[in-house]
Order: sequence, then structure tokens, then C-alpha cells
Amino acid sequence: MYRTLRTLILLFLLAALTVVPLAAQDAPNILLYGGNQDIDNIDPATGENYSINAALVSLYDALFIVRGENIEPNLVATWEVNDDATVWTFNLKPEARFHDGSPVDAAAVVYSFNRTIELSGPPTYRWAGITDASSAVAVDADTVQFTLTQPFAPFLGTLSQLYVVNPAIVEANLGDDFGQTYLRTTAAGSGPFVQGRWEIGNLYEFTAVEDYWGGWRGDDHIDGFLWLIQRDSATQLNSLLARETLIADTPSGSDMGRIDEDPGLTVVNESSIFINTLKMNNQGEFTSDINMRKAIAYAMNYAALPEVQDIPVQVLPGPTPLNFPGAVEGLDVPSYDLAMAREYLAQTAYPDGGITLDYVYVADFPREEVPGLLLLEGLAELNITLNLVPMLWPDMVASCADPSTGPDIINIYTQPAYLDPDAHLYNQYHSAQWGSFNSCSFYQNLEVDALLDQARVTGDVDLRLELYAQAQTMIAADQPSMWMYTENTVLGVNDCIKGYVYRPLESLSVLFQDVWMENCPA
Amino acid sequence: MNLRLYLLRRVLLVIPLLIGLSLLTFTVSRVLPGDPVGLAAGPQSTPEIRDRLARDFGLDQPLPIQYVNYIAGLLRGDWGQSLYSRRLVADDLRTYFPATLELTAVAILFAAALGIPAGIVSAIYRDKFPDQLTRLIALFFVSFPAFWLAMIFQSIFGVTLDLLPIGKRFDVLIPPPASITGLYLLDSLLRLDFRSFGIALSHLLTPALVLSFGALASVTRITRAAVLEGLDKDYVRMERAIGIPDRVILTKYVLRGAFIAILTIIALEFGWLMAGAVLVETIFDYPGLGLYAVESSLRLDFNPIMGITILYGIVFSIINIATDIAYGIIDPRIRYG
Repeated sequence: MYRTLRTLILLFLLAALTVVPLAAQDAPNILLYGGNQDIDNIDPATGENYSINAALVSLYDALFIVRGENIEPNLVATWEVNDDATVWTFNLKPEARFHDGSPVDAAAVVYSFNRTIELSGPPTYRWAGITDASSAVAVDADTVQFTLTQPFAPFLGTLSQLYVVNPAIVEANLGDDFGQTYLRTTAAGSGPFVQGRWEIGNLYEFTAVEDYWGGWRGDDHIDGFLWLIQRDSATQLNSLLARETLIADTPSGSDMGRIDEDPGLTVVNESSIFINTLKMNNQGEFTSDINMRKAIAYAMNYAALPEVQDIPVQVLPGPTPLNFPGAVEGLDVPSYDLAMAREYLAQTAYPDGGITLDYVYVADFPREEVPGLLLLEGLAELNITLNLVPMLWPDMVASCADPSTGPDIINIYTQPAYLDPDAHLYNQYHSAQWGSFNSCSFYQNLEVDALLDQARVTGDVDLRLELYAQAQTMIAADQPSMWMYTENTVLGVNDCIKGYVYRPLESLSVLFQDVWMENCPA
Repeated sequence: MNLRLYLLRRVLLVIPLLIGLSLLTFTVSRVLPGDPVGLAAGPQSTPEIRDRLARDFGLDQPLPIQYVNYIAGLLRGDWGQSLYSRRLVADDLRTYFPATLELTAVAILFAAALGIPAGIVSAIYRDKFPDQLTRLIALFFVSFPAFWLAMIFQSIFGVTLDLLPIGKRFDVLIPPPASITGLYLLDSLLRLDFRSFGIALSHLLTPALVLSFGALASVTRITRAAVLEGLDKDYVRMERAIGIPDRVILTKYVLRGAFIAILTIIALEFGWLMAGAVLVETIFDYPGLGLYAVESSLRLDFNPIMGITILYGIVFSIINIATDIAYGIIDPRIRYG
């Protein structure tokens, strides 16, 4: 009996395994993307991170779109701005259509903008303080006008995050939260893709809209793509090598060699604008003294960072990376120089050290722990003890609410939200931004504040750049933070993917509507 | 006491267990430092947004009120909503639990199918080469971390040999079998969809095999010990003396007696494997309860944490009760009472 049972089980297993090759992927034009991060909220008014943005730009249209290093009109045909950058008038493309066939008109733009402002979700900070409930007006069916409460020259750059929702669909699914529950998982857009299977935490299917109003770059565009959640970098690598995915968005640095060795794969390795900074509490007991901050900054071994981090990084030349608008070269910023560190320390109230500083970083995140270890080593030479304090990110954010709770030194990653110096400098170095994690240095220089304020209201591009250059020089001199590095974006891409263009602002994802596939493995 | 009364008593005993479990989990999760509302609302959120979110989820109430409200909801079948995703916890559990149940069941089958014969061989050839080899293999697989074994097996079977999928629960380009139980293997068989059965099985093989290693050593060792104990009994000597073949003695008499111990370890391992599946689920991107539990814990998402704990409590209780009943079936001498 046992023998018979055993034989039956073996036959069954063999039969099951022979079926497996028949289950090979036979949909020819679906791009399989290995994504590290979930897409758990596709409400344009409340969702924002790299994976959500990849979904939003596929399911919705915004007034503008980031393509490569440029921002291009999308729903907008033409636009005008008055001299003091307070009134922005946009003429929309009359052929734009939502997926249900209704027009994407000025009323829909106003509705979407007002909804975003009212819900005060993550994308809203771009327009905080410069707009109010009456700012957006539909002049006619195809013309929308924004009257800002104060001049804001970078306004156009923010509009790549203003995705337009279909008001009729939202109104039909309002609930008691202005449609948030509905839009969190269901799109009401006009974009080049529509949703297919939507399995939170597992996979997200996007299907191409064949008669997309904006047209496709070619007849050979992809028929759709699947965003597959792959949390582990080893799994991402193995999937790429096994041709189960065609793009891996977060392979580890140590996997780059294996991807490179494979003849059918390419490593995309580009300098990003994902910036790592160690913010020192400029109002803190020890670090309020600029000489102490200088001493600490000179004790950091910046040159070692590319060697010790597990992904390619590039050391920052100052507050702004060189590939970002408004960057200033040749700023006087510290390098690793213990002699200079001792010189500055000698001018503080603790010339012999003997103090302890807290260094706060995200728990279980080695990439943030490593700079702390480098700094620990350098500060030990100054007889300064560095206490490494791992914390959960929400607690780190909470600690940045007030100078009295702000850590001595905190490791923060920032990513500018739009391609303008304002996006990068204002939220980190303007004293009005105290209380956010971006401004956890609690830096205050009234001259810098004035320069940043003036640059916001100036339409003259050259004047703005000059103002930002002055501000950055002052910031460098004040040393509110240690400017560490930008992380390179590393993607693993199958060579059959064509049309991929790196976008610094959305570096971890792909503009799926622009790519196509040639002879991709089945 | 007859079986029905015994069952009733055991089921009633589950209630205070679940109350204690829920109270402990509730207290620990509330006491832990963190700002789950802040995390759910996002770092750019205003205090007004965070306050509104806290009110919507009743988190502005005193803790005892929060607990009572939660239990009252649970009794109405409302497992609450995730603070982070806003999805109903009941829907999430319905999605993720069958996946982990299926993975664990197949892993236990592997552990039993490999471990019991290995334990028997080990017992028969006590202290000889097969016994030493079996111990060595069991020790090997239990010593290595599950995530490392997972990566190795994934690389060998998925990349080098290109024999099995890298991960996920089903072929991503094909819709899974329409749900009856949520268990893909069972659902595909019930629908006579053998293609889907094959696909689901191929996706299960590697993660289930890796997960089974954690139980393999225990099942092997317990089987060995139980069989050795049986082989030393007087009735076995008598059966040998009267000429009954060793194979018959082993399979018809000794194993049956040893099965109580084997069943106990399998039941225990089932529970532990269910709880410990998270690493395997992470490596293989298997959308199960383990991953859901870890992510909810990291976010201090209270309702999923409570829901998962209570569900595990119910599952463990069912396993224990079923095991106790199985004892009585295997050994008719056992009486309930």
C-alpha cells in the first residue's frame, strides 16, 4: 500500500512539474518591474513617494511632466505669468480626456487643486503660504488661472505634482473623507495607463490606454507593466538574472558587478539629487557654537564615504549637489583635517573636548549608521564622545519639532520636490521652516532668510541664481550641517528595454509611457 | 467525559486565553515608543491632520475605552481598519492568512515526509553510519539561517538551473485560480484546473522546502527517540521471538505507538513555522501573514497587530484541540476528561 501511495505521489508531482514550462510568461509586451516600495495610496492629494509617483504619472496627467532633466507642459498648451510672478494663466489642451471620455477642463484642474489644498496632504507643502482656497479659478473651459497670495517664481516647477482627478467620479464616491478612501486604491484619471489587478503589498498592474489622448511616442509602446513588490535586493537581483523581471530598482551596490557581467543586462548608475546631510542643532547646548560645528565638520572623513557605503555615492561640495540648478562650485567647506578641527575646538568652551554628543539615525539602516561610525572615529581624536542613537523614523521626525528636543546631530536624507534651488534651500535653511525634519538644524541667519525670500519673488532667472549663490556662500560659512553625499541611482535594466531616460527628480523609477521593449525574453 | 463535552470545555477555555492575549498585545503595543499617527499621516502633515486622524481612529480616547471599543467591535465582526493603509483588517487577514497557511502546511508535509523516514532509519541503524549521517544533515539544515538558505536555494533553482520561479505565489502574468478557500492548491483542484495547480505548486516548492528545514531536525530527532523507545519494549521482543518480520513490527506496531510523540512535535512545529515564516516570505516575496505582521509592527499599526495576534491565538488553539482529538484516535486507550 505504501509503495502504491508513494508511486502515486511521485507521478502527481512529476505531472505538476511538467505543467510548469507551459506556464511560462506568454504576454509579449508587458514590462515586469521589480520595485522595492509599495504603492499603497494613489490619491494624488495625499500620496507621495517614488513608487506612488510612478503610479500617479501613469494613471493621471498633471499640468506639467518631468522628462529627463526638464519639465515639459503636459495638460498645458501655453501659459503666461505676470511680472511679479503672482498671476499664472494656463491654457489647457482641449483634446485632453479622462478615461471615461469626459474632458479634462479648467473646472477639473480647479477642483483637483482645491481638493489637494483642503486635504493638506504631503504634496501640499509646495503651495503652503502662497495659495489659498480662492487662488485657482477657471476663466473658461480651457483656461485656468492661479493668483498667488505672494509672488513665487518657482511655481511652475511645482505643477508636475498637481495631478488632475475626474470630479464626477470623486463626487460620486465622496464618502465622509472627500473621496480619500475611494481614491486611495482606485484611480479617476486621464493618464496613459489604467489599473488592472491591484494587490496591495504584492503587485500592481497597469494597462496601456490604446487611444490615450496624449498619444504615444510610437506604435511599439508597451501594452502595460507590472510593478512587482520585491523587498529584498537579493530577490531583485535573482529575478533580473532569471529574466523574471526586466528592471530592478534597488539592487545593492555589491550586486552591480553581477548585473554588469551578464551580457543582456546594464547597470544604470547616475548621480541623483538624493542628498544626505548630518544636521547639527544650531540651538543646542554644544553645537550652537559655530566653532564647535566647524570642529566637528573637520573631524569627518568625507573621502572615506564612497569606500564604506554599500552603494555608489558622491561627496557633496557644499549645500547643493553640482547636478542641481543653482549649485555653486568652489565653496569653502571642510575636509577631513584634524589639525583644523583642533584649532576650532580650541576656540570653544571645551578646548580639550570631554563632551558627549548624540548622533541620531534610522534604526537598522546601515547606510545611516556608517557615517556615524566615521564621525565617532574622528571625534575620538578630539576627546569628544559620539553616542550613536538608533531611532524609528517617526520618532526622529517628532524630535525635530522643537530645538529643545532636536538631537545634537541627526542624519537626514532630503530630495528636492522640484527642479529649482528654492525646493532644496528654502525648506532646509530658512528659519520659518523650523519644526520639519528638513530643517532639523534649527539654523537661523536673517540675511539668508532675506535672500531666500527675495529669490522666491523674483522672476529674473539670473538675479535669482545670484541670490541663491550668495545664500549658499553664507550657509557654507555658518556650517549648520555637514554636507555628506548624494547617492547614485542604481538600476538594473535588461538591454531589451528601450527609450529609458534618467530623471534626477524621479530617479528610482521609469517614465513607462516613453519606453518600449525589443525582443525581450518571454 | 465524552468527546463533545471535552470539545466544549476546550473551546470555552480559548475565550480567556484570547482575552489575556488581546490585553497583553494591546498594552505592549500602546506602551512602545513611537508615533504611528505621525507615520501614517506623513512627515509633511500638519498637527491638525494628525489630530483628525487620531480622532477618526479613536486614538484620542483613554486606553481602557480604546480596548473596550476594540473588543466590542471584534464581537460585531469588525476587526478595525489599518491606520496606515485604511484597509479593513478583516480583508487583509482574509487575503494573507490562506497564503501563510498553505505555505506552512506544505512545509510541514515536507518536514514530515523527510523527517519521519529519516528518524526511522536513524533509529533502526542506531549509532551506525546512517544514524550519524542523518544527524549531520539535520544539524546542517537547522544551523543555517533560513534567509540564507532561502537566497541560496533561490539562486540555485531559480537562476542557475532555471527550474523553479524566483518568488511570488503565482505566475504574475496569469490571474490566480478564482478563490473558494484562498488556498491556491486546493482551489485549483476543486476547479479541476491542473495548470493552475502546477503553477501554484512550482511557486510553493522552494519556499516550503526552505521553511521545512526549521522543523526537519526536530521531527527527525523525536521520531528517532520515539521509535527507539518502542523498539525496546517487551512486546517487540516477543513479536520478534515468534517470528514476525521486523518491517511489520515497525510499521504496524512500533510506529503507531510512536506517533503520539511525532504528532505532538508536528503540531508544535506547525505553529512555530506559521509564526516564523516571515523571513521566507520576505525573500520569496510571498504575500503572507508574516510580512503583514512585521510591517504592521514596524508601523505600530494597532488594529492589524491586534488582529494578527488574535488570529494566531485562534489558530494555535485549533491546532492544539485537533491534536488532542487525534491522540484519542491514534490511541483508543486515551479518554477525554
